[in-house]
Parts: sequence; structure tokens; C-alpha cells
Amino acid sequence: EFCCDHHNCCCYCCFVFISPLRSMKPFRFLQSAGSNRVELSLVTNSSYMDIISHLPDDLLLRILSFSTTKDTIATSLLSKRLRSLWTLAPGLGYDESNHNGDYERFTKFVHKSFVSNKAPVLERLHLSLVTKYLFEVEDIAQWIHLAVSHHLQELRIKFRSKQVSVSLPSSLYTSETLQRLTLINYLLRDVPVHVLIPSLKTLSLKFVTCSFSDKMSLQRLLSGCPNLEELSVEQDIIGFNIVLLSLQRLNISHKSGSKEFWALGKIVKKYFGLHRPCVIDVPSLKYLKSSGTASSNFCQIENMPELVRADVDLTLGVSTHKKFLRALTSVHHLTLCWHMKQVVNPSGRIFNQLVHLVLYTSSGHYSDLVTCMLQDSPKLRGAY
Amino acid sequence: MSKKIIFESSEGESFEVDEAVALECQTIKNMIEDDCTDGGIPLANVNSATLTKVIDYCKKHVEAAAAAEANAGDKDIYGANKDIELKTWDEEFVKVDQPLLFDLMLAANFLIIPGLLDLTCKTMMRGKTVLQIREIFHIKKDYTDAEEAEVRKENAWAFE
Repeated sequence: EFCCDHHNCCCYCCFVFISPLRSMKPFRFLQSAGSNRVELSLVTNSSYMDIISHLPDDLLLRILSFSTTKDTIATSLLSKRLRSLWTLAPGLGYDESNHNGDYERFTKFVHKSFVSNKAPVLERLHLSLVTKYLFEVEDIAQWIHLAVSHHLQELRIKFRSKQVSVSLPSSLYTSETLQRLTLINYLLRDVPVHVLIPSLKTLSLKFVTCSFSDKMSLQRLLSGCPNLEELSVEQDIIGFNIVLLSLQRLNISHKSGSKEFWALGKIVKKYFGLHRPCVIDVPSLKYLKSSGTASSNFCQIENMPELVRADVDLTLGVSTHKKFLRALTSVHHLTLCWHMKQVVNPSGRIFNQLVHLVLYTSSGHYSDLVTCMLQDSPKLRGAY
Repeated sequence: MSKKIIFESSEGESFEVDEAVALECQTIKNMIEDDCTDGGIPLANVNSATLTKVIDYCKKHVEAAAAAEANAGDKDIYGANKDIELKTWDEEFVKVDQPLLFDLMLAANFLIIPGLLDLTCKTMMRGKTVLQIREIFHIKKDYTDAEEAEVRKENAWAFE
């Protein structure tokens, strides 16, 4: 009945079985063409057909892998076919808030489902945690270590309540399969001296800082990603350099976080010193988005000759902005938010490649600003 | 003028699309490369309603990529705003009744459109209880009461 080893054949089966489903909502066809009504009358006899059970394994597993693991396991109650299929789901997703605040139950659940999982390659592990106590987080390292040993490709860890400090296993920092990593509300620590995550393409950090005793951790992580293509940093960037030769997309924004985070940020600032030089050297960058005070934190900015598009929001710190904008002179497509009173060409350079400019400004002398930009952009075709 | 490809739905209705749109489907891409698309491509497994939606999806994603290319001069790179806009569009796109969603998933699987396949799979069961899933998909309970009790016992740790 199922021919799961023959993928194409199965596809065909599915398509044959699809028609009966139509009868579930016959009103749909009353509004449509006559031919559909004929189809409807043909299939009513076999209505209420169980369609899911006729799907090939790989398709069913794909559907299951997008649910949380709790929901995925619950499908074992549906039918014999689904009884143990969940053990092959290539994605695991855990949300601690689904477990009534009972941490012990939650860890038991994670351990059990992890041990049961037999997927040859673990494509995804998503952890959403409300952990409050340090003793609780030690398990997390174990889970991640286990996941990495199952060829993990995507890891996302979100601490809901506050920034949590936990050592991630060293195996994560040398994973050969990890492609995407997202950390939210996390205090990075104990990153080993030698980090190499060769497959990592996308790294996203939201409210991630280092502990005071371990200020090099973030730097080490960044330095160990030789093939990183996309970096998103949504936080205050203080005291670290972005030197990534392969990077193509960079998003740095300084959005307001929790009060706790801001307080921490202040201390970090004090600790590192306000004028600690930060270097940004990303020669392959093609797309840049920068907002808030992010761009004023950089003291040394290398040129970005490949840049095609930049969205830059400038608020404070004129001197650093000049440097920042000078690095952008090769850009083709520029969106600039200008909140300052000065109306000189912001970079003092000529934008040789610029063909498209969008300018937002609250300055009263905006027409002067526009004139400056137009004069210095010989190729400009459109400005808004 | 770009080359046109003609699809034929299960009802025999013809749909003419730009080659670029058809290329979004890996299966069709292979056929075009093998040069066997003359006289139209019959899709006996895809009905007109589904095919219309599939073509909408491919068109939108081709347009989004083209707009990004025009703006940025690079096909792979487009702005974050465009990303969000396309994501929102995708979310609206799958707000359809369950049978059509199911048809779309099967069509995406058959035509090999990875983006649409993930999108439809993601929407299929997520956030639904077991009871809802049983109802929506008409999954027959083939367990006896004793067997069900056994499964419950086996996975008791997960049902707490």
C-alpha cells in the first residue's frame, strides 16, 4: 500500500489520493466551475479519506519536524503508522514554557526524546528556555553536545527571562556541520582558544555579551567562522572587532533591550573603556544595515569595495560617522537617515557608483544636503 | 520576449508562464534542460486551482529576486525590508483552506519547489492539537483501546 522506498511512485500515489479530500468542503466547489462539480460527485463516495497516512515518510517527517517535539510525539497517538515515526524527525524543538514551569519534567522530557531520536542528520535544534537558576543550565550543554554529535545543522537558543551564562560544549565550537547559529539573551563564556566552525554561514546574536572575566569569548567565536556570510548583531557592540573576509551581509542595530541589559551595557562600557578602538574589516560585504548608535562604536573602518546596498541610520557622533560613510563610497544603493544639523556631504568623498539614493532627514536645511549629495554622486539616477 | 512554457492542469486547462517562472520548479528546470517541454507540460496530478496558486508563488519569488537584482545589482542580495515583505507575503499566501494547502504541498513536492514545500509543511500541523489534526486530516484511529493505552504508557513521559 505504501511504497516508501520509491519516492516518485509514492508521489504519484499521493496525487491520486488527493481528490477525495476535496469533498471535505463541498461549498468550495459550488462557487467554481462546472467541471469541479462533476469531480465532486465522483468522489463523494470515498469522502473522509485519511490522506496524511498516504504520504511518503520523507514528506510526513518534514511536516513533523516543524512542530515542537512535544507536539510531534503527541502524533504517535493518531495511528499505527505514526506510532514511532516521530523518532526519525530531523528537527527537535523545545519550549520550556510548555511544561508548566516544572523544570525537572522538562529536562526528563528533553533527555528521553533526545535518546529516542534516530534521525541520521539533525537539521534543527531550537531551545526556548525560561531557566532562572544556574544549576539548571548545565543540562543544556549536554543536549547541545549530543545534538552536535548527530551532525546538527541549525542551532537556536533563546533565554526568555534574562541573560543567562552557561558554557556551551567545546564540540560546538569545532562542529563541521553547523550552518546557522542564533543566540538570544545569552552571556557568552568559556569559548575555547581554538574555534573553527567551517560550515557556519549565518550567525545571529541578540543581546549577547561576554562575562567580565572572559571578554575575549565573543571575539574568539567571530574569529573561528572563516566562511561566515551573514552576521546580525542586535545589541550594543562594544569592545570587539568584526574582521571577516567572507562576510556578505551585515546587520548591526542597537535596539533597546531589557532594562537589565542596558544596565549591563553601561558596566561593560565602563569596563572596556569608551574609546576602545573597534575595527570593522569586511572586504566582501555586499549588503549593510546599520541603525541606532551602532555605527558610532567603530573607530577603524576599512573600505568595502563590493558594497551594493547600504541602509544607514545616523544619529550621534559626527566624527565616527564620517569614517563610517567613507567606507561606503563604493555603494550602488544607499538609504541614509540623517538626524544632524550639519548639511555638508556627510563623507566628504565622492560616491562614484551610487545610482539610487533614499534620504530621510529631520534637518531644516535638507535641500542643501540633497544638493551636496547630488553633486558628489555622478552616476545617480534616482533620489527620493 | 522571454520564452514561454505551457503547463496543462489535470482538468486540461492551459497556463502560459515565462520560462523564468517555470525555472523555480526544479522538476521543470530539468525538463527544460533536457529540452522536452515542447507542446506543453501536462501535470496530471495538479488541478487548476492549485496550479494557479503555484504559479502565483513562483511569479512573486521571481519578481522579488528581480527587484532585488535591479536595486542591488546582485541576485542573492536584497534588502532586509524586502525580506520582511516577502515573508509577510508568504504568510498570507498559505492562509488557505486545508485541502488547498495540502494540494500545494504535494505540488511543491512533485515540482520540487523547496521554498514552497517548507512553507506549506511548516503551516500544515503547527500549533494544532492531536484532536484537531485527527479531525482535519481524517486520520482513522486504527488502535484498539488496549493498543492506545499501550502507546500512552510507552510515551507517558511525553504526555505529562
